Amino acid sequence: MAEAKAVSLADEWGGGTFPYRVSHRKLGMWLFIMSDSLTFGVLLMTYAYVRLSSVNWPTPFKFHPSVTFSTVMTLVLLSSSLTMVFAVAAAKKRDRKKARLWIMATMFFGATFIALHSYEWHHLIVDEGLTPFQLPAEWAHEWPGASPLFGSAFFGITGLHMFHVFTGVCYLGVIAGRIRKFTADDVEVSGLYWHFVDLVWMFVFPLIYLMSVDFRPGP
Amino acid sequence: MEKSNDREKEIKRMNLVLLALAGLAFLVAVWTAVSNQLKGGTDDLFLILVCLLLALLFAINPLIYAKQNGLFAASADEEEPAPAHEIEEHHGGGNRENVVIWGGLLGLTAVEVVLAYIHLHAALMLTILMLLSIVKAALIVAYFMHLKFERFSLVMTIVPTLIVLFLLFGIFFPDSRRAHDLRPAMEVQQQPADNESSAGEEEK
Repeated sequence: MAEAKAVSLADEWGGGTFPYRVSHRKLGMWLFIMSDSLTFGVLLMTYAYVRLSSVNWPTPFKFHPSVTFSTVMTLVLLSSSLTMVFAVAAAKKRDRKKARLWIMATMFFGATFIALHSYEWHHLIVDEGLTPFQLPAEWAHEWPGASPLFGSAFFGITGLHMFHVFTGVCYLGVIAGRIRKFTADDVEVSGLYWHFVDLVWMFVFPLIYLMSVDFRPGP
Repeated sequence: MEKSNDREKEIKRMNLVLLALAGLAFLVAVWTAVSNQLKGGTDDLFLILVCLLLALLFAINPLIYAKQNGLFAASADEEEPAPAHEIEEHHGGGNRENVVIWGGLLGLTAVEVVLAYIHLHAALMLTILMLLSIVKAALIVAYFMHLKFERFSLVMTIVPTLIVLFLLFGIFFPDSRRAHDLRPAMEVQQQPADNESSAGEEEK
């Protein structure tokens, strides 16, 4: 990293400096996060459009097991963010061993999230019979005239998020596996990506799960 | 020195353009309010709020520039721009603070889930959930992603994008309801021919 000369405010963008006092990798990750959050925002807006303009929309998530399950998933992801923060702190203190351990803890939580989410997908696809473009017959009967796009909205949004979690776990795996080659800044950049994944889930969880709670009495 | 002069002129011009855009956004807000004689309803309300917030966003940089260059009578001393050294080590947020933030996030999640148990009116539930989620997002971005301890210019580069995104939510969520009202009245039992994508697909 080149050491920047003393410059005036106006010359900060003239080259040879770090305008925001952050490394180029960190700035690049922030710009990517801004772009990706707009992508997820667009998907959520599309979901809103499809749902609010429909005559009827399934609300199939019962408190047990669906809402409790997804709440556990939320807790898992939040805990993974905490372990990631600890990893970054350890990396800054040049404690490579501890940083690697905390990163692996984060990966463990991420993998748990993927496992839980995949289990839910399996239940919805195989047991219930939900597809991206068609509701299960039982649901079509329960919510007459409901839009068949529930599946595409659900699988599209949670699927893209799960893909981000998966790539995040792989990214963290590379950082943890070759920790000796990476600086504290690199660990922090990977932490930024991981916190972004958690941040998206903060919006996906209420909008998809908590807004589709099944209040009908019975099992 | 000539280069620095040109850059100063460029910065001044840019700030004037931003100020003009802020004025334009403000004018659109005023025009919306006046042209409908304040009877437009929630659609107009959202448009007015969005335009005012955009005007504020555009005005931030010129205001900072004006303050730094002493254009305001109150602030006489100009801040010395710090010379750029190596990347500074930030020590923001000890372990204890992060655990507290994590606890706060868990608490907010618990509030959201408890709210789901109460069968609230959908629009109210959505508003509360979005507000809580924005608070959670702000906590994560500020503390876990360290943005609170970064330079203000970086904050100003990132946060306005996110604010504009939430403003877009504010426009599109109510607008979706309008799409619902535009549908022709139809029987709920039968599958309408012009339904979104499964046209022609039989439901068993």
